[in-house]
Amino acid sequence: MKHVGLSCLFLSVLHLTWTTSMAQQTFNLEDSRHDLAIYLSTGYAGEANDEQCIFCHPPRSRTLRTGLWNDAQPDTLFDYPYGRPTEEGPTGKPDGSSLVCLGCHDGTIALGDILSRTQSISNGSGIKRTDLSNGHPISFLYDSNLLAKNDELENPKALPQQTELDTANKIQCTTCHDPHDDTYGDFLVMDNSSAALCVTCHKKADWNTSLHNTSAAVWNYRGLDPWPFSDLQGSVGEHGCSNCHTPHTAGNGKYLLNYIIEEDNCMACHDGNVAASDINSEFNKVSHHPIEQTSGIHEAEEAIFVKTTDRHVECVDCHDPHSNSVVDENGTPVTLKNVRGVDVNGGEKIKADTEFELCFRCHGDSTGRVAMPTPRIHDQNNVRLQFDNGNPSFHPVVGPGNNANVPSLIAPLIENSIIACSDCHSSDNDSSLGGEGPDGPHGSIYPSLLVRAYQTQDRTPESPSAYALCYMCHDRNSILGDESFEEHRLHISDSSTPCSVCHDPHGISSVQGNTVNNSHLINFDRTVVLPNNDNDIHFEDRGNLSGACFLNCHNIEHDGLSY
Amino acid sequence: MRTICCIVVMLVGCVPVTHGPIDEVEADGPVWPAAPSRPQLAFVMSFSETENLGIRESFLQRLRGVIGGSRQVRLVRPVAIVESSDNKLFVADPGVRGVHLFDLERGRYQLIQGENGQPLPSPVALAAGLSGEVYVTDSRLAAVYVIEAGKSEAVKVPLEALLARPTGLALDRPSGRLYLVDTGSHEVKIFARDGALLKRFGRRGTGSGEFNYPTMIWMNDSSELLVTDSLNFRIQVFDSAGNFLRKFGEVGDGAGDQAQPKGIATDSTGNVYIVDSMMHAVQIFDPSGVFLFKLGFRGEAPGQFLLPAGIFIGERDTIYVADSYNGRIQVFRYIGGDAP
Repeated sequence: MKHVGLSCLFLSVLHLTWTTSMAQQTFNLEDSRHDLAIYLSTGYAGEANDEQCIFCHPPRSRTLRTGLWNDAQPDTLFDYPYGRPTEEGPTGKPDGSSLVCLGCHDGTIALGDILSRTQSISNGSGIKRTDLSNGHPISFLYDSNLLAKNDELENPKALPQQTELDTANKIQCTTCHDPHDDTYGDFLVMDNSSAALCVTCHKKADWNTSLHNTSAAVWNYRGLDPWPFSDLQGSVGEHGCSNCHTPHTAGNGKYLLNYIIEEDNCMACHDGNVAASDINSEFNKVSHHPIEQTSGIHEAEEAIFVKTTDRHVECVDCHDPHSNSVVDENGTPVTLKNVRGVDVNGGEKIKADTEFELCFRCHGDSTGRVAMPTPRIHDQNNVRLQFDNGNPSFHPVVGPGNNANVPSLIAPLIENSIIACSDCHSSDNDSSLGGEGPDGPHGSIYPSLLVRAYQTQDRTPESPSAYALCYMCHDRNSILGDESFEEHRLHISDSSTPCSVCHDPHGISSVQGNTVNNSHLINFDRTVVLPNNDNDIHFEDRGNLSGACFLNCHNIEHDGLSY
Repeated sequence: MRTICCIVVMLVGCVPVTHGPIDEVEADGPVWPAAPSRPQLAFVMSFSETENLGIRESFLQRLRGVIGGSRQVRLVRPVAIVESSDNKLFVADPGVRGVHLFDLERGRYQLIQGENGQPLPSPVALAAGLSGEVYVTDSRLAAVYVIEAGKSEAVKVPLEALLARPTGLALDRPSGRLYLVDTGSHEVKIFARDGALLKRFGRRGTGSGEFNYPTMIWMNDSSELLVTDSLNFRIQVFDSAGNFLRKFGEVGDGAGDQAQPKGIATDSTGNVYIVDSMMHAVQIFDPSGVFLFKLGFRGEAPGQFLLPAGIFIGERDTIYVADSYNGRIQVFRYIGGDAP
C-alpha cells in the first residue's frame, strides 16, 4: 500500500492539474475491481512504479511524436479530461472527470450501462430531465441557479466533504463514487444505508419521518425479491431511496425508478410480502382505480386539472411516497399527504387538505370524465358540483348537510356529521369495517368502487345485503319502519324499488336543481321514473317529513300523491 | 448543408446509388492533415438520425412508439457500426438497447432487438458475414447473436463455450470462423461456423500473446488478427490461427501513445486505425506500427469526438467512427495512398 501511495503522490507532482487534496487522498485500490494492474510474484508486472494509476491517469508521454502524415506541424499532447475542469463541455454531455469513468464503463472493459444516454438539466422553470435517460445526470452545475429551480435540493455549500463537486461546481461520478476506495462497496463515498448518500443532496419534504425511510418492515421471502437492484440488506428503512429508485439503468429513466410501469415500483413491496397490506390484489378486483391502463402519462409537475387526453391515475396521484404514512397527532397514518387537489370552489391546491379535495382533482372539473352509472333527471358527473354545500341537498362531505331531521342516522352519526368519500368508496374488505384488507378506494368487488353492495337494478328484492351500503349509516329498521318518508317500505320492500331510483347519492347541484324539487337527494332515475299523464315528473317538498310526487312509476300514476 | 446536398443526390438518383448520402466526398469539405501537409482523410458526413440518411418520416410512421414514441429515430449512444454484404448499415446502440438497421437503398429503418422484442442491453461489437448476416455481441447477456439478412430479430448463436464478458468480434468471411474477444477472461476464442470452439488463445499478463482487458478485434486483408489489448495499451497482431506475430503501442498522453485504445480497423493499404476513447481521437499507424496521424480531440465539429468507441472501414476505404457520446456516426474516407 505504501508503495502505491507514494507512487501516486509522485504522479500528482508531475500532474500539476491534480489538486493537493488528491495527493492526500487515501487509496484502497488493492484487490478492488479498480485494481487493474497485473501482479507477478515480484510485484507489479509493468515497468513503471505507477502501475495502479495509469489506467485512469495516463503518464506524460515519453516521446513527443510527429505523425508521418503531419509533416507540417507537431501533434499536441491531449488534455486530460479532468485537466481543465472549468472548461465547459458541450451542453448535455458528460465532461470533467466523468469522462475517465465512462471510457472504461462502456460495456467492454467494464459493463457500461451506467450512463446510457446523454442528458442535461433544462433551463426552464422547473427541473426536468430533458431526455429519457436511465441514469442519474452528471456533469451539470450544482449551484444557486439550480437551487432556485428546485427547493428540494441541499445548498451546495452545505454538502458534506464526502460528496464533493468538482472544481467547476459540477456533479460528476466522483460526487457519489470514490474510484480509489471501495470500502463501502460500489466505490461509494459513504455507506448508503437509509439513503445517507442520496439525502446529502436530495431534501424531500417529510422524508425523514416517512415510513419509507423509517419502516422496520422486512421481506418475508415469499414472492419476488422486492429489492433486486439494491445491494443493501435489511428493512424498508435501510433501503431508503433504493426501495423505488436506482441511480443507474433505471427501468423508468425520467424518475430513475426501478420499473418503467409506475405501479410496479409500489407493488414490489405492497403485495403483502413486505408491507402488511396486499394492495396489489385490490387492483385485480372488478372495480378499481385503473392504474394499469396508463403508463408514462403521469408527471410530477403536471397540471392539477387533467385534460381528456391526459386522464390517468397512478398510485402517486393520491400518495406521495416521500412523505407518505406520516403519523398525525392522533397516531393515525396519513396516507394522503403532499398530493394535489382542487378545493370546493374549483381552485387548484398544490397540497390537498382533505380527502375530497384529492378526489375532486379528477372527478370534479377535469375533462374526460365518464358519465354516472344512473341516468337522472339532472345528469351531473362533476362531483365537486354535486357535493357543493350550497346545493338543495347533498351528502355531507364538504360540510354538514342541510336536512335537520334524518331519523334513520345510526349513532354516533347526527345531522351535523361529516363523512368522507372513502366512507362509501373503499375496499369491500376495508379493515375499518371489520375486513382484513387495506382501506381506501383501491379496488372493490362492488361496482363503482363501493365498500358495500348497492343495488341499482329496478325490482331488486329488498334485503340487508341489497342496500348494505346505505344501511351502514341509515338504520334499515328506521327506513322500513317509515320513520322518515312514510312510504319507504311500500316503495323499497313491497315494490322492490332501489334507493337509487329516487335518490341521487352525491347531491343535486344548485345550477340544476332547487330546494323544492330536489331536497332529500331526490333526482329520479329516468329509466324507471317516467312522466305522468300531465307530462309532469317531479317531487315537491312540502316541509318537514312531507311532500308530493308528480310522475309515473311502475305504471302507477302519481298526480300529486302526497305524504 | 452537406446532408441536404447528399439527400438530393440520392433522391434524384443521378448517381448509381450504393450508399446514397455516404457515397460522395464534397470537394471543399474538411480534410486531414491540414495544408500544407498532403491530405489523407476526407470528411464524408455524419449522421445522428434517420433524416440525415435520407430516410424520411413516412417510413417512420410505423415505428412510432418503438423508441420512446419519437418520430425521429436518433442514435443515442452508438458504439459500433458495420456494413453488411448487402449494403445495409448496422449500428449497435446500448442507448436504445438494440441495433439500428439503415437500409439506404430502400430508405428504410428498423430497430433490431432480440427474439420477441427482448432488448439487447449491451450490444458492443458487430461483424458482417458473406450473405448479409450480421453478428452482434451483447456483453451483458454474454452472448453472440446473429441478424440474418431480411430478419428483424437477433437470434442467439449457440457457441460451444462459456463466455465471461464477450466483446470484440471479427469474422473470417470465407470460412465463417468467428473470432471473439472475451474481455472477462483475457483471451480470444475462435469458433467454427457451427459454433464449435476451435481454439482459445491468450491469458492475463503483459507478455507477448498475453492480454490485460483486450476489447476489439479486426481481421485485415492479409487475414491477420489485430487485437486491441486495451489495458496493456498496445495492439497485438496474430495470424489467423492465433499465433503471435508482433505488437506495438505504449501508454502515454501524447500523439501516438495509447491512453484507452478501443475500436480498431485497417484500410486498403493496411494502415491501422485505433480509436482512443480517452484522447477522443482516432490514431493512425502504418502496418508496422509507425505513427502516422492523430485525428481529433474532444468536441462536436467534424473530426472531433466525445468518447468514440467503435470503428469500421468498408468498401472504397469508407471509415465509420462510432462517436458514442456525441450520438452520431462520423464517416470519413481514406484518400491517401500513392500520390496521384
